[in-house]
Amino acid sequence: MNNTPHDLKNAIDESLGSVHFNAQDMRAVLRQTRAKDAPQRRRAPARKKRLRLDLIAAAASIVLVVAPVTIFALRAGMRGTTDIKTITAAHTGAASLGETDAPSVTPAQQEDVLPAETAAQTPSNAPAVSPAASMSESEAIRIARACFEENCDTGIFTFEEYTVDVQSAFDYGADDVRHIEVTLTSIYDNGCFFRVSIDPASGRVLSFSTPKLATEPTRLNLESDEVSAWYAKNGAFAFTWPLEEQAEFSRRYEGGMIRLPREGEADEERIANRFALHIDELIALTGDHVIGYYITLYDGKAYADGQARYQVYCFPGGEIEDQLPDAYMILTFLAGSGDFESSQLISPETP
Amino acid sequence: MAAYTKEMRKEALVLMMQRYGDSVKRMCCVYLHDLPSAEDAAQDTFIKAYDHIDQILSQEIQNEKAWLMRIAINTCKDMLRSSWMRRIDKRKPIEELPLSTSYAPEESLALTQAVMSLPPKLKDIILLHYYQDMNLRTCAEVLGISGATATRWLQKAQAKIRKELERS
Repeated sequence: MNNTPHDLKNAIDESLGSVHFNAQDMRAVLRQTRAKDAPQRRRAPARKKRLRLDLIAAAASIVLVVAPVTIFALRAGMRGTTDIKTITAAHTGAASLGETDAPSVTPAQQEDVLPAETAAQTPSNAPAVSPAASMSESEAIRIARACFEENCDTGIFTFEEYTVDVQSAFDYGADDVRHIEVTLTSIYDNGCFFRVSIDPASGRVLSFSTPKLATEPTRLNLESDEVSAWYAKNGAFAFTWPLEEQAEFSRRYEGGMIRLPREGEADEERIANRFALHIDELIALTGDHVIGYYITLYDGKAYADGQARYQVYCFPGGEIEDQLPDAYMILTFLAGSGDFESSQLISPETP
Repeated sequence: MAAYTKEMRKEALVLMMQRYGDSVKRMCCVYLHDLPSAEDAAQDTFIKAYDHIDQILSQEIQNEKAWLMRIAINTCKDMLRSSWMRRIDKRKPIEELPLSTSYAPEESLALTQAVMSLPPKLKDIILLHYYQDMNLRTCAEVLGISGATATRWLQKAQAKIRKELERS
């Protein structure tokens, strides 16, 4: 070999120049060492993920929901807010919006008025601007709906998947309505909302909240009846659910991280066939002739490179029931081509 | 042995990660051909090192670097030995690793690739001797072999790299 030690050291450093033991690695190590120093606790891998999501969701809720609402409430208090009426679009048929037979937990029934019905009550050719200072609720809802449909991704949630609340804000001591606030709140209790402020005199939209807050869930309340019903129906581990159920659940509560295959992408059957190519290895490896596997399709938004991927969870001994085995394997396939990409062993030692 | 506070241990660990983190992770990457696995292995190395951090603080362990590299190599070997990994090869060639290698000269990539393709024991000696700047005696100690064996392995590794470079 003509290369000097210096050459080889340089070659590796140049080739792997972007590989650093970064802050994230350090944090992971320190977290583990803290756990070592702390009193022993039982591991609960399946719950752990959920807990993390909850914490993130809680933090996000504070930033995205509680803070704006508090500011809004303070502002409204200063101006003197009068509640006109709360119109709740608690749709018993919400589950039918998805393609799946979702658990039919119905949000509390109040004086239900579907936004669709409200909109139907309002003539579609009604003037956009209500000359009268006292704008009707249905008119305010119609304007808010138009604003929602123009600015938010209705491919994720449609207008029918929100409850509607209409309030009127007054200047302190004045009789004239300053503006009308229409707030859409997701029926899935996932933290999604959209707020539109309307000038009652002109019908002009004065402002509206950040559109992504309307379609990116910030909360997954595992204790809620609706979410509990999903788990009761399908099992404790979401990746074991039928793909349609996973996709619908993810749309409602996780911002659609998991979805159904699109045109041009490998379908579930093709991935199962590709997976079968590996099954002999798995059988030889585990000595078990039964391998249970579950397929999940992650949208491109779950990955830095934007490519959707299938993850196949494989378990020796067949289907899992109440508990995850200590070790299992996740095989990853590219959704576009269906090609095998990588495998990962998950074990108690996996950080 | 003197008792050390949690803060002192943590400080020693952070210092060790700052000093050797990059080279440990890159070595694991060469060893495992897979960045996520290398991340796991590098983190695991320091977690294992933490178990003996008192010995580092008391200077009971003389050659900190050699000791750490032994842990790293053993961690990589354990990962490769794990039954799942033996059956399902997740190793990738260097060009498929998610690294920004566009600025790296072709010769460097070829040389790194040649090292990556070595059998484990030859890779050990090359990485310790050339990448971690250890003399052959220390390499032999780390690997638990005699000096003569270390020399033989090094010569064999050099020959294989030369052959691989000629081929490529």
